[in-house]
Amino acid sequence: MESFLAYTINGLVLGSTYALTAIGYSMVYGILELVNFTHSTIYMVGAYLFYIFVTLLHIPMPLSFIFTILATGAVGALNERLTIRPLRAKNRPKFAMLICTIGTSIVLQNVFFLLMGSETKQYPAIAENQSIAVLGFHVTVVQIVIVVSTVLLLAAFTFFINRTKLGMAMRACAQDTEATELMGVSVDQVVSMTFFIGSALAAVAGIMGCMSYRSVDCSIGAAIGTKTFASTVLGGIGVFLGGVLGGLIIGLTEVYTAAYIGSNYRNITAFIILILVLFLKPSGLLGKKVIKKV
Amino acid sequence: MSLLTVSDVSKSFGGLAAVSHMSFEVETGQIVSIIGPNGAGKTTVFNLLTGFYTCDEGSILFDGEEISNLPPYTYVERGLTRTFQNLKLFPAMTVLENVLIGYQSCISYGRLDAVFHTRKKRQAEQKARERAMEILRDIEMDGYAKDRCMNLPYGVQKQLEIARAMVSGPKLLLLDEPAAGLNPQETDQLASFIQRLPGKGYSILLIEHDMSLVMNISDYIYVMDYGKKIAQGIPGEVQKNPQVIEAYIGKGGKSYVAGG
Amino acid sequence: MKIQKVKKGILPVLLIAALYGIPFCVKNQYMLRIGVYVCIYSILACSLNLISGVCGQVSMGHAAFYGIGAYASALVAIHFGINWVVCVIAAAIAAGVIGVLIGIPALKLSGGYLVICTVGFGELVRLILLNWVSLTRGPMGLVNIPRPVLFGVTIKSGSQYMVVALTLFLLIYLILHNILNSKYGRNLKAIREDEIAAETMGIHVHREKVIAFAIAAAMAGAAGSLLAHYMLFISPTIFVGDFSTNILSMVVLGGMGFMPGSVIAATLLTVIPETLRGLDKYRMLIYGFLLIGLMLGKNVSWETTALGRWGAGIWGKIRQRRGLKEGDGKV
Repeated sequence: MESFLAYTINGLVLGSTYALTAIGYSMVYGILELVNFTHSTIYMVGAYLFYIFVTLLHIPMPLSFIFTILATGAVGALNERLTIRPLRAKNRPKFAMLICTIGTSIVLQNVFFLLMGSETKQYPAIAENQSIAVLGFHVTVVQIVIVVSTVLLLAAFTFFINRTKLGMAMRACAQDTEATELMGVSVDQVVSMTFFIGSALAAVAGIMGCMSYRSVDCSIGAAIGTKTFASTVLGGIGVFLGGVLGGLIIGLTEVYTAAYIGSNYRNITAFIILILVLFLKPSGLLGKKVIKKV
Repeated sequence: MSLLTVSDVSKSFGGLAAVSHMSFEVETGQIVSIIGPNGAGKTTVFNLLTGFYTCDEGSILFDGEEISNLPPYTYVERGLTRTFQNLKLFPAMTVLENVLIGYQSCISYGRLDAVFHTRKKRQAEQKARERAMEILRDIEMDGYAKDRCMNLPYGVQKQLEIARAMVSGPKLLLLDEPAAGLNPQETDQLASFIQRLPGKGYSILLIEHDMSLVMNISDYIYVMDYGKKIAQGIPGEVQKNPQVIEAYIGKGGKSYVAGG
Repeated sequence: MKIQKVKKGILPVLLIAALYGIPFCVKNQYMLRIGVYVCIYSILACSLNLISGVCGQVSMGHAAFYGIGAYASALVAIHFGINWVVCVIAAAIAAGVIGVLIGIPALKLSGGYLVICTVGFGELVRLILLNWVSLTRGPMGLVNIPRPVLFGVTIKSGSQYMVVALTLFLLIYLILHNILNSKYGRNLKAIREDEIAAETMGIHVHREKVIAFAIAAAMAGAAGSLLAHYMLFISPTIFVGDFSTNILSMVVLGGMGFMPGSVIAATLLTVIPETLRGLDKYRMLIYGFLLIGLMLGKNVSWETTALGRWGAGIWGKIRQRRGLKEGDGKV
C-alpha cells in the first residue's frame, strides 16, 4: 500500500510535467490546427538552457530559471516567426507546415547534440535529495516543488486565458481565426504569443522533469513527444486545460505500468492509450464533438 | 413514379433542427430547384442526399430504392452526382484528370490489370480519355485539358466541376449554387447550358440564390426557411407566394422577388 | 506510329542497360556496396512516396515495415532454410499484413494525428524487436543470415548482389509506375487533393488508403529482406525513428508524388554522406534544414519541391521532344 502511494506521487509528478507541455500542443493546435512537432524538442531546449545557465555559466538558480523561461519562449516565438508565419502568409498546404515543424525539431535536437555532446549529464538540483515525511511517507523537496509550481502555473494560466485581453484573443482565434482578424485583433501577434507561452511552459516542464530524474540529454524531447501528445489528445486537443487531465492520467499509468508490469513497457503505454482514445473517443475526455463540414 | 422521392426527412445538430420534415420529389427530365435564405438548410439536404450526413428520420427513394444513410462513395454508381457550393476540385491535377476521376466508377479494370498494364487496362483507359475529352469539347474546355485546374479562372473551374459530375452519365445531377461568383454573362451561359441538360437525359436538382436563373429554368420550385419547406410550385406561383417574399426580404419587399 | 512506339521505349531500355552495366564494369567493392544501398533506399523512398507523396498520408513509421520485412525474411531463412525468393515474398506479406492491420485504424486519422500514430507504431515495433528476445535475440540481433541462392548460384560478390538488388528495385519501380498510370493511382492523387470530393466521385477513400499503405509496407518489407541477406546481420538499431525521417527526407527532396525524384533523392542522400564522411555528424542537421528549406521554398505544392519541380520540368520536355502529348490518348 505504501509503495502504491509512492508510485502515485511519482505518477503525479511525472504527469505534471506532461500537463505543462501538453498546454503548448493544445494551444497551437487550437489556433492553427497544426500538430507542432517542434514542441517536444522545445521541452529539451528548456531543460538544457537551464543546465547551461546554472552549471556552465554559474548563474544563481532563481535567475537562471527566469532566463530559461524567457529564452525558451523566445526560441518558440522565433521558430514561429521564421518558419510558420511565412507558410501561413503564403497559404501553403497543411503538410508543408507539418513537415516544417518536423524539420525544425530535427535541427534543434541536433544543434544541441553537436554543441553539448550525446552523453547524459547530471542535472542541477534544489535541496540535495532531502525528503520530508508527509502523512507517514517520504516525498522529496523536488517533488513538492514540482507539484506546487505546476498548480500555481496552471492557476496563473487559467486566469490569463479567461481574464486578460490577450487570453481572450487566443480563445477567439481558436474559435474562428478569420473572424478574430476581422475584429481588429492581430492574429500574427496572437500566434506569436501562443508559441511564446507554450514554449515557456514547456521549459518549466523540462526543468522540472530533469530535476526529478537528476539528468539531461539531447533525446529527452523525442522521448516525451508521444507521451505529451497522447496527454493532449486524451484530454481533448484544442481544450487548453484538457491536457492537464490527460497528462496526469498518462503520468500515473506510466508509473504504474513500470512498477507492476515491467519498466520495458512504460514507454509503450502512452502510445497504446493514444491509439485507444483516437479510435474510441477522438475528441478526448473533455473535447466536444466536431461536425464534419462539407 | 418519381426519380427521387424525399419524404419527411429530418436532421438536427445538437438540438438545432437544420432540416425538419422535408419532403419533395424530382421527376425524370425535370429541373427542380430548392431556394431559400442563407442557412435555410438547403446544403444540408444535399448532404443528406449524398450520404455525408445521416438522416435522423424519413426516407429517400431514388429510382425506387431507399438510398438514405449509405456511404458517400456509393451514390455515383446509383446515378447520383453532385457539385459543391465552394469549389471542390482536385487543384494540382489537370483538367483532364479531374474529369477522369469523375468517370472512374465507369472505368472497369482490376488492380492486377493496372499492375501488369494489360490490354484490358490500356483499352479501358483509352476509352475513358475519349469520353472525358468528349465532355470537355461539349463545354468547350478541351483547350484546357492539360492545364492544372488551380491555374484556371473561377468561372472555368465552376464549369469543370459540373463536367466532372456529368461525365459518368448520372440520372440525377445535384448542383449546389452553380452561379455563385459568376458574372451576369457567365450566368446566362450557365442557364442555357443547364436548360439543355434534360434533353441529354440528365435530371437536375438545383440549389441557387440567383432568382432570375431559378425562375427562368426551373420546372418546379421548393422554398425552404429555417429547415422547413414553406412553399412549392411552378415558378410563377412561388414568385407570388407572400410567405416566400416574407422569408426572403421581410414584409413589404414584394418588388424584389417579383422583379427577379 | 510504329517509329514513335520504338522511340518511346528506347530511353528506358538504354537507362536500364546502363544500370545493369554498373555491376559488370565497377569492380570496386565499396562502390558496389553503395550501389546496393541506393537500390534498397530507392525502394523505401518510392514506396513511401506512394502513400505519403501520391496519396498525401504522411507516415513516419516506414522504418518499422523495413524492420518487419528484414526480421521476417531472416527468421524464415534461418529456421526453414527456404529459397531467398520465398523469403522476400514472406517479408513482403508479413509487412503488408501488418500494414493492413495498422492502416485500418490509423488511416481514419489525418495530418498530424496520423504522423504521431505512425511514429508511435515505429517505436512499438522497435521495442518489440528489442524485447521479444526468444524470437529476435533482442539487442544482440540476428546473425548468420544465409546468403541468397538463385538458380543454384550463391550470391556472394558485390556485383552479383547489385544485380539482384537492381532487379528487385526495377521490378518494384515498374509496379509503382503502372499503378500511378492507372485509375487507381489517379484515385490516390484525388484523395490527396480533396477527400470529400474523391468520396463523392465514388472512391472508397478509406479502402484505397489502406491498400496503398499495405502496398507501400509490403515493398518496404521486401527492401528489408534485401538488406538482411546482404548485411547477414540485423539488429533493432537499424530500424529506428531517425531512419524513417531519412526516408521521408528523400521523398520530400525528390518531390512528393514524383517517383523519379524519389530515386534521384535516394541516390543523392546515400552517395553524398558516403563521399563526405566528415559530414556524418551533421547529417541529421542537414536533413532538418533540408526539410525546412524545401517547405519554405518557392511555390511548394504537391510534386513541386526542388528536385521534383526541376525534374518534372525536364521530364515534360523529354516527353514533348519525343512527340508525346498528354491528352492525345497515348499517355
